[in-house]
Amino acid sequence: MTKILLLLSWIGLFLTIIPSMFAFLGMVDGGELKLLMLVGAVFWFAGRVPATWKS
Amino acid sequence: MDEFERQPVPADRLKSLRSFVNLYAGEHVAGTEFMIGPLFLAAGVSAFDLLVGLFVGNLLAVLSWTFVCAPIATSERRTLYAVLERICGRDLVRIYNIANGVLFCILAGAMVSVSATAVGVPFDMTMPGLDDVLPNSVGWIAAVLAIGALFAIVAARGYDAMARVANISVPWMALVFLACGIIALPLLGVTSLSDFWSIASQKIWKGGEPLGGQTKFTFWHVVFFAWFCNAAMHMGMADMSILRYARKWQHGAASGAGMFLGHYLAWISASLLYAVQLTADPSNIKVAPGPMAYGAVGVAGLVCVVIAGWTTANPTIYRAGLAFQSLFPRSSRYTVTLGAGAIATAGALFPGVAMRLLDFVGLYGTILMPMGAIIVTEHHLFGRFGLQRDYAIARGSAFNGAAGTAWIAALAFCALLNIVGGVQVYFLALPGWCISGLVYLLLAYYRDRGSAVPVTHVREAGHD
Repeated sequence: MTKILLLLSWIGLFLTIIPSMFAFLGMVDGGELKLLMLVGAVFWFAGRVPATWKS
Repeated sequence: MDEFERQPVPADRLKSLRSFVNLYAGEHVAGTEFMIGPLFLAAGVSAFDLLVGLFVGNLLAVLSWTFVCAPIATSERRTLYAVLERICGRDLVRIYNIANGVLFCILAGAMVSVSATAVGVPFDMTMPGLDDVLPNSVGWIAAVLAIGALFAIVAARGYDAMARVANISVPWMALVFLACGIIALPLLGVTSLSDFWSIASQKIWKGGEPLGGQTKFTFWHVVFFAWFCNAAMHMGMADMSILRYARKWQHGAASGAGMFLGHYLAWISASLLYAVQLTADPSNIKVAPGPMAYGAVGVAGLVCVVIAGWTTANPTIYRAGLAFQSLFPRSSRYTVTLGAGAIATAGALFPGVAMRLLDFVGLYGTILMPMGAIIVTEHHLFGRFGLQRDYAIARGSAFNGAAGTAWIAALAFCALLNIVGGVQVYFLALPGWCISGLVYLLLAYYRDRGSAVPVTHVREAGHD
């Protein structure tokens, strides 16, 4: 379970930063970027909140 | 849990460098960064002045933490308040607490304003302008009252849960700041790293006249602002309370994580967001973090602004409550913290508080920093001159007149520099600190030289 939560939070971090780099290179548009970053936030908190409350 | 508020921290409770890196990174990636970055741009700063000035100022701040605050913190192993009480006496510390509490409330108020701009986005609320002082709409008042009440209640119930949210959010918030900066670059015409400098200096931070009645910022404004925006913490010695847990004084360098993540990267990113807004509509000079972050990264940006404001405002209201509690010892902490939250919310109703955040931060350091000079002078010089250390505890005094006079003399000197000499608030903290230390040393010298009472040693050693 701990590993799954850790994986979720790492996916969240990647989805937060990587799309902005793609946006810099012109590979994603504004709408896609905003959606990906929202999904990133959901993954990050889904991974970190239970892990923190468990500890 | 024993927080060792009155006695030195024991050796087995000291913490590693890593915990200080995390702590400083968390504390300095906060809601204020969303205001300060854009305000630099509004202050008409040029690219060189901002990028190099911030680097130099933040480096000086890190050096102040490392060489001024940390060595005394690791030698004393006590909180700022415990040390001040031993030197200055209960009554003077009470006055210091009131000043601290009021300033904390204003700072928390600015954070409530930041979060209110994010909450207002879904309701299409009219955001306050850069030169607005009074509330500009009913929507603004409603948003501030709702957010302020929520923050105050959570703070009054203790902020453990919120502190956890803050810890959880830090890496993600830092990346959202970074993402905002990266996304803003192509919108400003930067498509490769080689474009950056020419566009940064000609399109983004062009220099020139400030916007909306802000003060014009030069290189030295940026350096002194970055150095002294946390003056109360480093040369004002408030972070003794944190660094007393450090194994070695060198751990003070961990403050670099906060400075270069929060006060360099985040400020520049927030400034870039404001540049995008100005490029799209030069007449829109409003500094509203909510709409700016929403425009760049959508809902994730709004969540980031609310959390950044909340996680900063909550401990600030909580600390203000603790500071005021010394005035009303019979009232419960819950009631006093609610009162502090009410003051913060009242301040937040006036957008002028947040829009003049640069000035306020300068003033904050100027008022509190002289107390740090008293501790530094006593720690480094009193032994050499054979003066009485820990005067209040040694002589049973509730008010150390020399320390009180030094503080007032420093503030009077700064006021004189500002009013008569026209020296701006950003440059007052350093001369104030020096005057405070010098006056304290002189007064203590004349006090102890003529004293019939022998100098006594009341200190139990900490552990270096």
